Amino acid sequence: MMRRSVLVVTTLSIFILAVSVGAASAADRWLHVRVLEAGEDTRVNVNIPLSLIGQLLPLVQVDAFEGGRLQILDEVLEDTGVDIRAMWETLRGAQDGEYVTVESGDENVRIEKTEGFLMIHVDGKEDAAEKVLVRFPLEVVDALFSGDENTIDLLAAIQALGRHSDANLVSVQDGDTSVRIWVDDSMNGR
Amino acid sequence: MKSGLRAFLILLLVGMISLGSAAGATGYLAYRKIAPIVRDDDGPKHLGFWDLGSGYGTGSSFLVAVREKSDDGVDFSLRIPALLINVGLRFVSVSIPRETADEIQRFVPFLTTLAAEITRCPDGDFVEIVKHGETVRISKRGNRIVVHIDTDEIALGLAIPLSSFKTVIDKVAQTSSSNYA
Repeated sequence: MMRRSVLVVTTLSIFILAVSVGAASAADRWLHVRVLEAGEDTRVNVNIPLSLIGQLLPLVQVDAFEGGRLQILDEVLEDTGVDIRAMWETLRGAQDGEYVTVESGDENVRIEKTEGFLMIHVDGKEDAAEKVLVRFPLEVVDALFSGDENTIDLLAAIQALGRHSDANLVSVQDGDTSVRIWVDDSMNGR
Repeated sequence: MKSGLRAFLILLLVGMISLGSAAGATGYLAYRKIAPIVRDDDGPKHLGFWDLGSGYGTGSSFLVAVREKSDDGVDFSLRIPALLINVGLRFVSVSIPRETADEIQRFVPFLTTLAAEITRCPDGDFVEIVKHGETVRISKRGNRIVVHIDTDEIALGLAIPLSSFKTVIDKVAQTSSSNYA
């Protein structure tokens, strides 16, 4: 009886472990970049697993970038007087809405928080075809500021991006050039 | 006991002769295949046994093919089993300057992690750049990293077994940490 119980528990454990490993592999998330310049007959496709980025980022040590973190916020504050972290904390706690609108001769810029995303719209005026949309999940932006006061934590942001559902991050349309950056769970992208 | 020992020695001798014969035959056939281009009045002849048009497959050999697109351009291909590369690297000894060794050591963890992560990935294209009809593609096919370059002047294919890639990294790490001039 004891031996049968041990056998059942062992078999069940192996099954659960196998399913878990399989699920981990199937859940690999991919970052895709597509650049198309129709006028130049140029196409760039990049497909990188987020797990690869997450493994390699901590190994990069350049200037203020170390361990997947960028020590830059103090410098930005000193140079521009803008406390980006404080701005984000204020924005994060606020209701959905449009918070920044900049209208210049060349372009209109809008920053809004809506439906769990931070969205930045840039609409060109001189060239009506120029449109930029940056769309980051709020959890990813939270992760960017999850480190020390002076840090932007890119590693945490990549990990948060891996946990999020499929997301279009950047969309640029400028004349005959288009750029798209997004995350999904297929190697070749959808 | 003595008869057992004798039988063992005979078997060992037969085995060594067989292995040596097989290795010799393989080497001779490889020598016949891995030959430079022969040019005669009729133009270049392709003596390689793998060309870019046949695809890379999902095997584990090291493959390289170069084809110049001019009328008298080079057309060369080579296939080496990964096992030969991996075993051969064990016997290679290289001396490198200390500064170079230190520089290489910095990249070893990066390359080791890169190789491990790529091994986990499914087959597919990592990078593809197409410009004015010229193509550069870096992919994974089976157990190999494949680099494919196709321009107006040249077509180049390179398939590196991931096992050999890791062996090279280990060898570089070992060499740079212990054997510098």
